[in-house]
Formats: sequence, structure tokens, C-alpha cells
Amino acid sequence: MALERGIPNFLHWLLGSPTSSLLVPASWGFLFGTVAICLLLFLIVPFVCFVILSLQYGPSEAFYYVARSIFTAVTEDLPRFSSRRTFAVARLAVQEAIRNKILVGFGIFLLLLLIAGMFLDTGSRDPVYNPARVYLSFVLTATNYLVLLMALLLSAFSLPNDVKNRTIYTVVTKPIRASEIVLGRTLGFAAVGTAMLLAMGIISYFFVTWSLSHDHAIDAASVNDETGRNGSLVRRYGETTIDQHHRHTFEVDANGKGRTNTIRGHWHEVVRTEDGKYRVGPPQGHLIARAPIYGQLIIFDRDGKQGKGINVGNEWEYRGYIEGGTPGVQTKAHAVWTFSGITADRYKNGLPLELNLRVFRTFKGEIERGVLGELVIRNPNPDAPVKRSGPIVFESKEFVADRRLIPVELNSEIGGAAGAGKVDLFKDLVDGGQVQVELRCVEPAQYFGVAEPDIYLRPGDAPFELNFAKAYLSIWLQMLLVTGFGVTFSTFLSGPVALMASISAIVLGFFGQFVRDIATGTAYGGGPIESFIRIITQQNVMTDMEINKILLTIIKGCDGILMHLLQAATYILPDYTQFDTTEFVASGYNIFGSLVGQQLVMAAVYFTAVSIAGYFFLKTREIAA
Amino acid sequence: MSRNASFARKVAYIAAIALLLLPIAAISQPATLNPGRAEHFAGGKLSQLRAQHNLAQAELGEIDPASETMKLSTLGLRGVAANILWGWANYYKKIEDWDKLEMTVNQIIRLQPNFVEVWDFQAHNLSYNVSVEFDDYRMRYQWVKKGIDFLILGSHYNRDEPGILRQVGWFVGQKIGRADEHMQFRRLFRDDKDFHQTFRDNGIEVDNGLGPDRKPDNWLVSKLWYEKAVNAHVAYGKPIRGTTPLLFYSGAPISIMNSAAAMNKDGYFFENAVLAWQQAKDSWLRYGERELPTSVGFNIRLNEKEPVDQRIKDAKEELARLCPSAEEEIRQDKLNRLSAEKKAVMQTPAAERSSEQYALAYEAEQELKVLPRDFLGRAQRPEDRPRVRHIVDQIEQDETTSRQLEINRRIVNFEYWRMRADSELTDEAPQAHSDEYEGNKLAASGENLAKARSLYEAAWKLYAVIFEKYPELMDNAEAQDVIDSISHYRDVLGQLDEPFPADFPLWTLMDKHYKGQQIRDQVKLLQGRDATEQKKPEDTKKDDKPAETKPDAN
Repeated sequence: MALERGIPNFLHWLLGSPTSSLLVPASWGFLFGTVAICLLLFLIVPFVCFVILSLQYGPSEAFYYVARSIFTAVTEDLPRFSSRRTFAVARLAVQEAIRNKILVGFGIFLLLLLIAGMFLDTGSRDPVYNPARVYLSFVLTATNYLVLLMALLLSAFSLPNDVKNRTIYTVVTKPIRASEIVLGRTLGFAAVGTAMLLAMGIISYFFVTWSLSHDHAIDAASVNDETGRNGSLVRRYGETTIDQHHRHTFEVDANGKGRTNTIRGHWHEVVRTEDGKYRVGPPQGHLIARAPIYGQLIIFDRDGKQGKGINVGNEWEYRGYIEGGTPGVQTKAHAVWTFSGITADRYKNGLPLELNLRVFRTFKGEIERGVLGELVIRNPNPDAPVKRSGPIVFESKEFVADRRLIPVELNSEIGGAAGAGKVDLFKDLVDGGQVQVELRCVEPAQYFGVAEPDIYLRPGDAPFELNFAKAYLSIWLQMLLVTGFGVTFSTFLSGPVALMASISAIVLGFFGQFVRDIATGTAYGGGPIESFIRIITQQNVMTDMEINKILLTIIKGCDGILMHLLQAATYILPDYTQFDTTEFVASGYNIFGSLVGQQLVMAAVYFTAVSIAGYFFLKTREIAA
Repeated sequence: MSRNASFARKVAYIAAIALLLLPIAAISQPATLNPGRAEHFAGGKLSQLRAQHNLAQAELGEIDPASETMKLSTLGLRGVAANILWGWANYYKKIEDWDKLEMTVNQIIRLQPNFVEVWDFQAHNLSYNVSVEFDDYRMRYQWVKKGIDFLILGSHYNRDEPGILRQVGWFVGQKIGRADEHMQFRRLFRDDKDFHQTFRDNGIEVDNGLGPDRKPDNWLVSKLWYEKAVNAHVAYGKPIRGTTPLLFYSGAPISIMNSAAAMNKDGYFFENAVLAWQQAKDSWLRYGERELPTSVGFNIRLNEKEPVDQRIKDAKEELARLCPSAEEEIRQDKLNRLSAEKKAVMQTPAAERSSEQYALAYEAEQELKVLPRDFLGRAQRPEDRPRVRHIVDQIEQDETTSRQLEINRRIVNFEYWRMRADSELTDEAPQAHSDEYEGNKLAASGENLAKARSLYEAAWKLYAVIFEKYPELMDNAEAQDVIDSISHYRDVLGQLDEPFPADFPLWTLMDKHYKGQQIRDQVKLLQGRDATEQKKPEDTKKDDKPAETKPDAN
């Protein structure tokens, strides 16, 4: 799984990098950025309100109005906030949601699951193809979109409908505060969404496990025996029957126990019973949650200098490539990962490495064999008496996770704690809990492609069910945000307009990077006016616009203003892509704790901010108008 | 407005709606199923038009509920949805997310199942572009198969579409048989029982395409797909799409040729290969007999070039007989009519002409050409003039035909393959290939290099005989394999510490290929110039002549 944003570090994300600069907002860190934006809004928003009210009531009246709003919020509404009233409103919101036939959304979800088989084409014969990924992507994406849509519709129309139907008077005439109305509605709709999400999650889990379950039998005609020199049986091997568009090869030992190979992300246990029959177990290994321990990568070029690696012509620059050749003679190119937290207690049997390399050949070479590489375990301390182990040569594999256990006792030219010609991993090569893994390609004119997450330690896996639940937590946080924004917009906008505003917030949240690329000119095509003209005149995005130069200047100017406003909005609105953890679950990787922490903090901050904004909007609104 | 007026208006609207329903119903009535049976109803006008132009889904191919549902659910924005999916497909290909690429491509074709170019493009994308992203040849093979599977699926949605069927044949033949990993791919294909079953399920009996090892051969199976494509065109009248009839019909015979050639590379000679080459030759002759349209409006048969050329030759001889010395007179007339400038250029030696003079000289040569039409009115006897006219018309027609035959033959390398099949059926060819193959094996293993050398040398002698009979074979790229073997032979000689023979019988072949020239240069460098000088027969005879004896003084 590619981590294009890099491996998340919660403190780094929260507080910014040590080298952050005040002049580069992107490096500030979420905390500083939030404080800065809040301060800015705290200054700008009251000022804007003051200006608008001044036009209506005059400056002194406007000042009084704004000051009173802020004062009463702090001195009256906040200390007298009642959770009892809030939950009462929440209960009403739940009843309203059920009355509005919210369960239709749940029905649509069930219908989608029922007919999913028609659309999810998992008939691929590719042995590396993983249907679990297809099903998991489908259920998570379908749930995500449905829940967000439901939250949107519920939250955007609730208050405006109450105002239109005048039922709001039955609420506001009671001793209830605006904050309790806003929070109550939000929590009520969130509770409905939570219940539906819970139900969808459980059904999705069983749908996925049921869809992936299958069994094979053993193709008796394919079974062969392998005997040793003394004629005794060593193993039996053969093929299974086809089920779900695939078959496995298998082998069992002399005791009749064995397993199949891994096809489509899973394998089966095979047992030969005493009566000579074979029993194939259920699929295993396809619903996993790897919990990788990542290291820090440094790439060195052919002269031994640090760099980004070579680009072999790929448009996607996620990976840098290191050149192959005799180490130190033909090339000094190599990649080094530094791992921390390495202790003998934690890694009793050695370092369980997993490699996900890419290979680039400049000539075919040995077609029947993978390109050879070597791993060297190094001591990070340059003054250590034993600096490195001997090379561990391996044959590269692409697009599969290549598991290699680095043993505790390694070969070495000079020898170490383990004796002559041997070194001990923990005693000789681990320094301060750190160890380095060096990767080289040994075949000249061939290359290995590497990125930081490509080599990691895999001491164990997290429970898949927990990972699945974390993905649903991410969806729940999104739902919470959408509900909050919907309710907030509905406090001062009509239903349809609030819906449009909420949708805009979601779209900007999902496509924020695209908007920023357009605004900064990284992406071609220009802003909204220019791209509209290009569409209707069928001009492509790469050529200059074929219109009058003055008009072009005006268009580009207007687009510039619009795009920069949108760009500013993308920094203020939540980035929904940060909440997307579908790929983690589908690819079988544990969702990082740091990522969950980021999502929780972001959701809490945005939820608080929109709730406060909603409170002020509702408070200052004239309901009877 | 009054209630009566409002009521009357409502009645009028309802009546108009009811009246309009009649023609709408007539136009849009659906057809009933089971066409051909007595109770089949062709439906309204729209339904009849759909059937007439083969636009109805049932006529086009399978009705896929998923595809129809997806098309309906886009609510008229099918084009937008397809556009977005194409963008996603390109994105997934960029980030090497092959599972999602495959899923997205499957969604695209559900939205555009009858847009045949989509099947072509994406199948090619999977088999040619995505497959090469993998390092492991087994993975590459899987993705080549994916593209083929994709096309086969496309043939369900577009029943009897010759273009798609032909593409399947191309992928099975060329992609598996000509890739860099062709040896590995062919081996995997032979043992891929599940894939063979897929072909059987789609009407291709792979047991009719078995190789010498009694397993399906990819070339022979591709031939079956080509034949299915031809059948779709001939029997069902489906138009040939995306290629000319010349190339369309050449697929099957070329596959047989390639199959026979591949047999030699796989180590099969003598009976198996000879039989294969005989079948290839017969199929090529049949292809040559097929009537093919040309771009100039008439049909040709590739086999008929020789008779046509002979006819032209005979006609010209008769023309010369009927109009003796007319040719010289015509040429002289044309020369006299040339401008002074052009005359002067024609008299300038070619090596001394400037570029403008070359152009003028070319124009002059064209003007000086004696055309058949020039003979009109030059018959020696007046009663021969109608005959001369007839001959001139015939020559002109035949020359046009001959030109088209030449062009079309060159496109499919017709003469080469015919000559190749003939050469492979000589007595020398199987033994030559066998000796070369065994020599390569011994050279690669390093065992018994002396035997390798003697096998090679026996092969070269036999190849020399073949190339003497069929010298044009030396020019073709297929002869490169022999050059490669000569390279191994040179290495064997090197290991045996023996010089490259000066009387090597294939110097001419080597001079025609870059690698051969390189080998020759290397030998010249190491052994001296004489090592590469092939002695001419006249030189040998000169040397063998006895010394002249002095005449007696008496």
C-alpha cells in the first residue's frame, strides 16, 4: 500500500516540524494553524458583523449588539447550558429522523449489498488479485457515501423545515438556549447516524466474510508423492479443484499436514486423514491487518551521496530507484532504513522484515529469475566494533509482500559476539535500540524502486475486526462533521441553500488538493470561468485560449480571485481525505494510532468550531422574520 | 377565468394527450422475443429500425443486467460517468493499483459495452502496457491472459464481431508467440488447462490446435480464432473493422507459418516440422487464391502475379512483332521532343549532376519511357491495328494489376513466406535446423564442444545449399537466428582455440546483417584480413591451372 502522504506522526502533525517557518503556513502544524485561524476568525468575524450591522443600525448600536452577543454567550449561555434540555432536543431530532423515513437509506444499503454481485466482478484469474480488497472497498465506500448523504439531508433541512412550518416557535418559546438547540439537533442526528452505521458495519462484516468464504476439494488425479532416497515418503503435492475462479497447489508432509499456496490473498490448511481423503480448511490470511513498524529511509546515489533516487521514467514519483551493480565497484547506490525500538525481547526470533520492492530492468537478463538484491544489517553507530553483517542475497519479488526473517545469528566476514564468521544481531548490530537495514541491487544495469514504507518490520498483526471498526470510526467522524456543518448552515440558510452549502463544504473537503493545484497553477485548465469557456468551445487544457487578449486578462484575473478564495476555504474547511481509511482496511494494513488520533483531534476541533458558529448564527437570527 | 373555460381546457388537454398516445404507442411498441417463429412480432417503427440496423441489444450481443442497470442509473450522464471512469483508470495505472484498474475497466465496459474500440483499447492496455510493468514473467502472462479474457468477454456483448475475434487471434498468436518471453509464455500456455477450457467454452476447440507435443500450441489456437473471425464476416455478413481484407485474411495462414517456424525453435524437425511446413505452404497457396479487393476498385488474387507478368511479357513480345522497330522510333521521337536543358542533363554523367539536374534527369527519364500506348497507330500492317489496340489495352490493365499485386504482396511479405515454406520443404532444411539446434545446445552446456563444432559445420554446409537456391532468404530478419548461432559457433571455436575458417560458407549471409558484419570484422581483426576473404571459384581455377610449358625450339 502506497503512503503518498508519508508515515503519519501525530506530534509532528500537531505541532509542526522542527524546521517549520512562520512564512510557510503548510509547515505550522495543526495546533498552531487552528489557533491562528481561530484568532483570525475571532477578529474578522465580529468586525464584519459590526460593519454589516452599522449599515443597518448605526455604529454604536452595532457595537452594542456584537458586544452583547459575545458577552451573553460567555456569561449566560455557557454557564447555564443544560444537558437535559440538549438531550431532549436530541430525542426529538431522533424521532423526526425516523418520521422522515431515514431507514430508507438503510434499505438502499441492503439493496446494494444484495445486487453487489452483479457489479463486483471478482472473476479475475490473477493469482495476486485480492477479492477481499474489492469487497472491503465496496462496503466501506458504499457505507461512507450513504451515511454522508443521509446526514446531509437530515441536517440541512431540519431547522429550515421547522421555521417554514412554524414549529420552531414551540421550541424557541421554551426556556431553551440556541446552543442547546444546535447541539441537541446535531447530537440527535449523529445518534441516528451512529445507529445506522453500527448496523451497516455489522452487516458489512458478515457480507464480506460470507462472500469470501469458499471451499475446495483436492483434485485426486493431480496428487503426486515425493519420496526420499531411502524410498520413504517426503511429501505429497497436487492441486485443488476450482472454486471462485481459482485453484491452489498444495503440499502435505509425511504426517499429512500442510497447506496450499497463497492465491488471491489467501491460503487453506490441508489435512490428509487416515483413510486417505483430504480435508481443505476455510480460507485464511485474506482478512488481515498488518501492523508494520516503519523505519526512516535514506537513499544514496551511485557516488554515495544522499538523494531521492533515480526516476526511471515513471510519471508517478512515489519511488526512487537505486542502481544495481557490484557494491562499491560499479556503483555505491543503496538504500538504508533505520528502525528504532529494536530489542531482543520484542524480536526474539530475529527481525521479521517484509519487502515491497519494485524492479526496473534495462535489459531482460535472466527472465526465469527475479533480479538479485542483497540486504546488509548495519550498526547505526559508526564507531561500533562490528559495523555490518555479511550480505543476505535474495531474489526480488514485485507486487507481493516478500517476508524475510533476519535471524539473530548472521554471517559476517570479521565475526562478533556470536563467534568467528558470525555476528549477533542484538549484541553486535543494535545500538540504542536502533538498527539499519541496507538494500542493494547486485545486478548491473537493473534497478530497485524503493519508498520509505516499502520495507518494514512485521512483528505481528492487529485484529482485523478492530481495524474494520476503526474504519467505521473514521466514517462516523465524517458523519459527525457533515451533520455539524449541515445544522450550522441550516441555522441561517433555507433548506436547499443549506444543502448546497454543505455539499460545497464536502466537495471542497474532498477535492481540496485539486483546488489548490488549480489556484497555484500546478494543474492545467485554469479557474471556473476559463475552464467553462474551454469546455463549450472544446479547447483542450494544454493550448492557449483562443480569445481576445484583454478578455483573457479579465477572465484570468477573475479566476485568480475566485480560486484564491476557494483555496483559502480549503484551508479552513476539514480535509475529508484525511478521514479516508478505506485503503488501509482493503489492503490489509492496520490504521495507525497516530492517524486515528489526528482524525479525532480534527473532528473535535471542527465540531466545536461549527457548533459555536451555529450557536451564534441561530442566536442572532430573527426567527419570526 | 370562468370555471367552464377552465374545465373545457382540461378536457381538451386530456383529449390531446390521449390522441398523442396512439402514435407514440405505435412507434414504440416493443418486439416480442423468439424471432423467426410464427408468433414473432416485429414491434413498432423504432423496434423495426433497431432490428434493421442491428442496434438492438439482443441483436448485438448478450443482455447484461448489470450493464443495463448501470446505464440506466447514470440518468443520461453515461458519457460523463464513462469519462470519469477513464480518468480513474489512467490514475490507477499511474499509481500501479492493478486491482482497481481492473475493476474500473470492468465498470467502463459495462457503461459502453457496444463501443468496440473500448474493448480494443483496454484489452491492449492490459495485455501490452500493464503486463510489462511486472518483473515476473508468470505475472506478465497473467495480465496478457487478462487482456485476452477481456476481448472474449467483449465478443459476448458484440456477437460475431470480426474485429474483436481477430484481435483475440492476434493476442494469442503475436503477444504470446513474439514477446521477449515467448518461450516462457508458450510453455505456460501449453499447460494452462483452465485457459484452454475458457476457449472451449467460447466455441474454440483447442484440440484442433495441438502442437507436436500434443498440447495446444498458441499459434495454432490463434489460427482457430482467426478462422472464427473470417466465419463471422463470411457467414454472418459482419463488416471487417479496423483492417483491410488483405490483412484480415492473412491472420490464419501466417499463424500456421509461425507455428511451423516455432517448432524448429522448440526442437522439432523432420516429420513434425515438415508436415507443419507443408500445411503452411498449402494454407498460403489457398490465401493466395482468395479474391481480395484493392484500393483502386478491382479485386486481385495474390497468386496471379506470375501469370500476369508472363502475360505482359508475351503481349510486349507480340507488340514488338507487330510493330517492328517501333520502340526505337518512339524513343527517338521522345528524345527529339525533350527540351535542350533536359537533353544536356541526360548527357551529363550521373556522378557530375547537381541536385537540380538529378530532378531534371528524372523527369527526362520519365518522359523518355516507352509506354504501350505509344505503339498505337504504329502497326506495320493496317489490318493489325485493332490487334495492337487490344494488346495495348491488355498490357495497361495487366500492368495496373501487377502493380497492385506487388504492393499487396509486399504488405504481407507474400513472396518471402512462399519461398520460406518451399525452402523448409527441401531435403537439406530439417537436417540443417537439427544440426544447428543440437550445436547450440552443446555450446550452451559446454559439453563436447568438438561435437558442437562438427554439428555447426554440417549445418553451415546445408544452409549454404539452401541459400544458394533461395538467396532472398538471407535478406530477411528471420535469418538473424542463423547469425546468432554463428556467433555461438565462433565462441566454441574460441574455446577450442581454433581459428574461424576462411572457407566459411555463409560469408554472404553475414555481410547482409549488422551482427554478421561485426563478427566478420572481429575475425578480421584477430586473424588477419585473409581469414575473411572468401576465395572465388575463378581464383581457385587460376591456381589450379598447370604451369605453361615452353614450346619446343623445333
